[in-house]
Amino acid sequence: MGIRLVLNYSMRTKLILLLVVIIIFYPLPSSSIMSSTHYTILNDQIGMGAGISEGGVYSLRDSSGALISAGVVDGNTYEIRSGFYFGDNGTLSVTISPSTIDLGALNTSTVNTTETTITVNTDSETGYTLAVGSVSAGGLTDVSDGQVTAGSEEFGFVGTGDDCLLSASTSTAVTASLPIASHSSAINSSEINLVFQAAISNSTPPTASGQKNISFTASANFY
Amino acid sequence: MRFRFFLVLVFGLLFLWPENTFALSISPLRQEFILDPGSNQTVILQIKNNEAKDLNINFKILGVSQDESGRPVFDTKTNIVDDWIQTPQSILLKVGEEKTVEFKMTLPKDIYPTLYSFALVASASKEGQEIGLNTDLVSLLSVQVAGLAQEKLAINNWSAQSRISYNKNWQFNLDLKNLSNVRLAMAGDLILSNLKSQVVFQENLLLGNSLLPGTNRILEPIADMETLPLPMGIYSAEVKIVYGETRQLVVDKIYLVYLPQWVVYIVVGLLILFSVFIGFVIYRRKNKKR
Repeated sequence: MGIRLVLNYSMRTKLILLLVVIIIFYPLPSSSIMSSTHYTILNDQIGMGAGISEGGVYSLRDSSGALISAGVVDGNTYEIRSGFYFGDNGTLSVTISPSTIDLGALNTSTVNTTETTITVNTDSETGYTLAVGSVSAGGLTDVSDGQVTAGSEEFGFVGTGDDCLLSASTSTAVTASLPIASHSSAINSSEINLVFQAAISNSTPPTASGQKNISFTASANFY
Repeated sequence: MRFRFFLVLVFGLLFLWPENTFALSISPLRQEFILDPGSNQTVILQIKNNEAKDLNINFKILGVSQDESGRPVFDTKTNIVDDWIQTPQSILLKVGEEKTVEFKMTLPKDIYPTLYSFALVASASKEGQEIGLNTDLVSLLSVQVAGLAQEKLAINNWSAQSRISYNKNWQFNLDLKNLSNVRLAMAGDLILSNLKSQVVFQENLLLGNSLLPGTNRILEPIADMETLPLPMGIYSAEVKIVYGETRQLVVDKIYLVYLPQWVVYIVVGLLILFSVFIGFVIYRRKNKKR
């Protein structure tokens, strides 16, 4: 005994039409960003091949395989085979305002300060790290005792902000590679306020200046 | 009518909504390749000028390592990258303009199969501004050279900050080192047991992001047992870490003593009483001799 499904002509037509619509509009897996005139596909997930395929008017960044394209696992070792690409298409933006620091005319009786705000914006799931990249040579002596004091030749900075790694009260020397701020997930408008402090002593050469050329390096964090 | 007005308003706002004005943005943020020795690869970077001025963008390549917290640290002294990767020429980005640049990479044929990490750096310099604050935006580039991967994680240090704990917050020092030629993902547990091997506390350790080859991760895990009934005694603190694709396990164990503060107070109190008693006895004996 079985159940026999009987469809009349009208129902059959509707069913066929429905199937055709489903087949045509079935969403195919696609995670790419496409653009023309020069056609670009960013990080599409396709089965084979990797890297960048280039033609006259297009470039293709693709990926295949898992995060580590592991071969045969044998105890503590395994074979890594080539042909894998992964790209994180998130963005990282930084603004510094103001982007010049001028501590003005320095004298032995005061500590001169100037302030700047760095705003970081990223949709990276691992967040970001902001560090001092490079500092121009010369100028005032770096602070070493945690306090820029009037009458002593010292230059340093303090920082505030939710992601700031600097102390808000103890002055830190501005040195290359010093991490300033970090966040471990995506963040919109992370503000880091930096206050640069400078003081001179009687023995400071008159040519010494509170002006510095400082670059800040911002990057996403590693996985 | 109202609906039509609402639609016009919404679409109008969508078109007129001001874009956040950031000086410079970069994408992708991370790229990772697995390549054969001697192979060529083009790495693409997109840079956009969101500032109200034209920007000159310069490019450079730096080495990258990890600090003990897992954050990237950029090394200006790495010179192998000059031979491997060609830095693109400087470009001028007009206001709102986005450009794509290519870094051409050629790996040496005799390269050791390990993970190499680089920073592709885009620096913005404004014309006429020689002194001031500049931004370098970095896209992380990881190149794993194909070959035999050997995974090994070492526990350099597993210790308690105090071998005798007088409270229920036990603090530890953990120092891990990646001795492999690949990046290691890690997961770990902290397990505290009494001398009868009964587990009294177990918690996942927050080990942070994956560990690059040759780098250390230094952590200070805390076992917070304030709400647990914890008898005085000797306990073992075991750290178990599973790592890598081969899911290997590394374990270390130390012993520490839990001495509640009230016990310390009682012992000190008893010692004082005992000292007073002894003093009294000596005093009495001396008086009797007289």
